[in-house]
Amino acid sequence: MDEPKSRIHLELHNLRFKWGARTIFEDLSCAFPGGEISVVLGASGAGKSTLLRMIACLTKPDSGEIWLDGETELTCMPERQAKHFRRSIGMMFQGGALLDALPVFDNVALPLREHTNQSESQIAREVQAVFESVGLHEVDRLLPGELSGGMIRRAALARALILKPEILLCDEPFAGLDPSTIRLVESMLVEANRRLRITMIITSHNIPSTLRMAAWTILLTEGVALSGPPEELYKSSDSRLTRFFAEDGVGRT
Amino acid sequence: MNAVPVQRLGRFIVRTVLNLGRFSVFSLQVVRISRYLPRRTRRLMDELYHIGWLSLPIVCVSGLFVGMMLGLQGYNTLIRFGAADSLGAVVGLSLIRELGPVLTALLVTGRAGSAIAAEISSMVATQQLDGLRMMSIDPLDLVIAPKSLAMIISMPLLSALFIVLGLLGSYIVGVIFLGLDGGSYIASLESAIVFQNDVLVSLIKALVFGVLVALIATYRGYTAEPHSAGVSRATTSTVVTASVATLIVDYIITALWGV
Repeated sequence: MDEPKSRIHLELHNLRFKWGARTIFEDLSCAFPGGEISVVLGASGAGKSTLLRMIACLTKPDSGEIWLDGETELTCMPERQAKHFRRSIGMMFQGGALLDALPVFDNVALPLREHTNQSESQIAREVQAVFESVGLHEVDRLLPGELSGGMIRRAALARALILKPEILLCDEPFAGLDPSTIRLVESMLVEANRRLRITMIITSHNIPSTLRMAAWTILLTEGVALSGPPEELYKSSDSRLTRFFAEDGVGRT
Repeated sequence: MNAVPVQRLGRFIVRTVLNLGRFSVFSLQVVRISRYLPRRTRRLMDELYHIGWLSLPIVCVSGLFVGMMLGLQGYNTLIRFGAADSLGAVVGLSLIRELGPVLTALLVTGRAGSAIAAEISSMVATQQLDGLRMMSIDPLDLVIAPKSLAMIISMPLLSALFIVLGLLGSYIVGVIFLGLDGGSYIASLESAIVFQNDVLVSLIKALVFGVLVALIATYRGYTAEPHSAGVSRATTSTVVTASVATLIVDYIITALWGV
């Protein structure tokens, strides 16, 4: 459909991907604006998480290209280079993906300990600052298993932000949360985007929150992507869009 | 002619060869990444605690009772031939050459090998390993290598302890309960054991079993399917594969060493 008007940070061209006998992407092309929040919508199994994994170079498409800033092609990147590239990406996994065996503080401090030469006191200061920014208090010594769903998302966001990434990928950050916690996580993401101006790509089923926070929306359906500003997509008469929004049961106003 | 059995056999062979190839590549990667282990001392110590230290009770208790059982059975058999004084030699050779390393490997597989496979496979299922990759941290470096090395270090030590406790158990039964002469027991044990043929082989076996169990457990966990059934399959498969591999390799080492 449309292309973003602002700077394009990531461009996906003609992606094809099969999982066993099932075609996930037939001919998927779309673009993500830089420094904005983009929300990827789609039914279960539409390939939202796969799309994030491809951007993070964790999964390679069967064919097609992913361009970063129109200069770097990501799909043909060797693992060593991909590993380096991933330092500029933060990812918030659906279940948090925090290491069960480590306390929350150590989980968040891990990227700093691995990739910087900072002293423990500097690391502690940075971790406390990022905890502050996501509203986490007195969780340092707790294990991930002792946190609530909302706190896990916040800790996962803290870990994703600790290396100050240029791109933040969020896989279903609202899944399984109650409405008030959804609002809380949503405001955290919006605040992080406003403060750091990072490109955020969020997969979600949640249409109300998408309409509230997204600057750009992509709907994955039948192996292709339909994209545009959220209000435009929501009001579109394209049968694929109307069907998706109708099936979601949100209805239109 | 029905081609289905042939197809199945072909598929089985291809799958087995593929798995062996993947296992070899995985093992080489673990060896290669192990050169960074000096900066993972803290994690290595944690794993030594979980794999080695926490296996101590089961290994000690089992060793003691296996030794007591061998002492009792050995005494009842040897007394018929008037050779009860050789109890130390019989029990010592059995424990040092075979039972010590093999039973320790089986016990550690059941306790620590299964735990390693379960932990790593649940990390796969909950995307924790992907989370590490996203932070540009190699899971082989942070998770797999310390666990593998801890298992390799622990196994010979646990095996040695099993043997010592076994000998003690046999001594208790033979000398204290059944009235054998303590000096004869020790003398027959000393004269029967040759360091190179018995103790060295025993340590080498334990080391090889440690490598086997470590690699099988970590490989099964690392390649598990990302769901709860995958966790259970990885755990079961670790115990079965590592136990059978231990017994097969035990025979091969014994045959090659010529004892």
